[in-house]
Amino acid sequence: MRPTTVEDVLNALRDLPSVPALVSELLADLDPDEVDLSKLAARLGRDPALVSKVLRVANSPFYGLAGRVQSLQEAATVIGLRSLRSVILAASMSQALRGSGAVAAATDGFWREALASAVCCRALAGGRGAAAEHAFVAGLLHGLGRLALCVGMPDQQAAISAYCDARRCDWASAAAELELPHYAAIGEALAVRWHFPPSLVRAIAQHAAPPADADLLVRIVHVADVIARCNAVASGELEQVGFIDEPSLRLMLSAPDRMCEAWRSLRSAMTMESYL
Amino acid sequence: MNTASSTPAASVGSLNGQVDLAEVTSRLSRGLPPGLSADLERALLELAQLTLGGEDNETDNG
Repeated sequence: MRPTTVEDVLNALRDLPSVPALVSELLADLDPDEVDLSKLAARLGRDPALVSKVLRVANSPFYGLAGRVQSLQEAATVIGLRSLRSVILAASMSQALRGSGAVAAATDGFWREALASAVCCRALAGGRGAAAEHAFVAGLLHGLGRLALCVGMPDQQAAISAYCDARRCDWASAAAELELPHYAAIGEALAVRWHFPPSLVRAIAQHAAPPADADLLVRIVHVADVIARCNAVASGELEQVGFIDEPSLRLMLSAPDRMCEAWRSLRSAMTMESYL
Repeated sequence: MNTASSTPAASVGSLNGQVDLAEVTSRLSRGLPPGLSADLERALLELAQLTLGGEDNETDNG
């Protein structure tokens, strides 16, 4: 049997919905200073389920405000417009790409990991400001290809899960052994198809093996991934950390406080219930 | 998104209670890629100890 290609995965994604219009709007204009709260509130007001998700995330322990945020306006005040924008993006994507039935359980886990990675990326980028929110979005979406395989080819996803359980190896290694494409390549194809901004496409495509001229966002997502794998090995869930891009790691280690905060935030995010 | 797991739902880094720092450090040391520069390996191990140790202390202190 021939190996599965990226095109095979994309062809299997007939049920994957188009990226929501709201997400397109938020991604098309990545300048957080341009966020118009009244416009966002008007758009969200038509979708009570999405508003509920946004408030759930805003009240999660990530922001230390449990139970205090009861409206979008309050959320904007206490977590800031930039963070609110990222939260809306996360909630909107997870709602659109959740899947159904047996796939839903797997996609729930995906979004929990994605949110943890997003928080880790934000910490590596300094925790606040426009660059940090860019990093949050990149962390949230960098594993999009894995979600696509999960939704489009659930049998192959199940095979990868079984392989990982048996060998205690990471997802990418299992996919390679099973002749499935790397999730980064699937994610890149989807991101291009959905007209994501070039910086985000690069983060999705290159984070697993940053090229010599990789930009900062690619390096941040790579190191967030390294931290997640180190954490998994330290916890006994994984045998080998796998590839580490030394220039990216050196760059991030030049800010040890951020590395420490990123590691802690990833751990706390992974051990808490899903807020998406 | 290169974390452990088999199932995307798996929890990364859940140690379920007390952290055995020596064991954690040993696991990580064995799991780092061969050929990784010594200073980077040391930095990652120190970071793991610092992060996990801090968590442990917080637990101990109530």
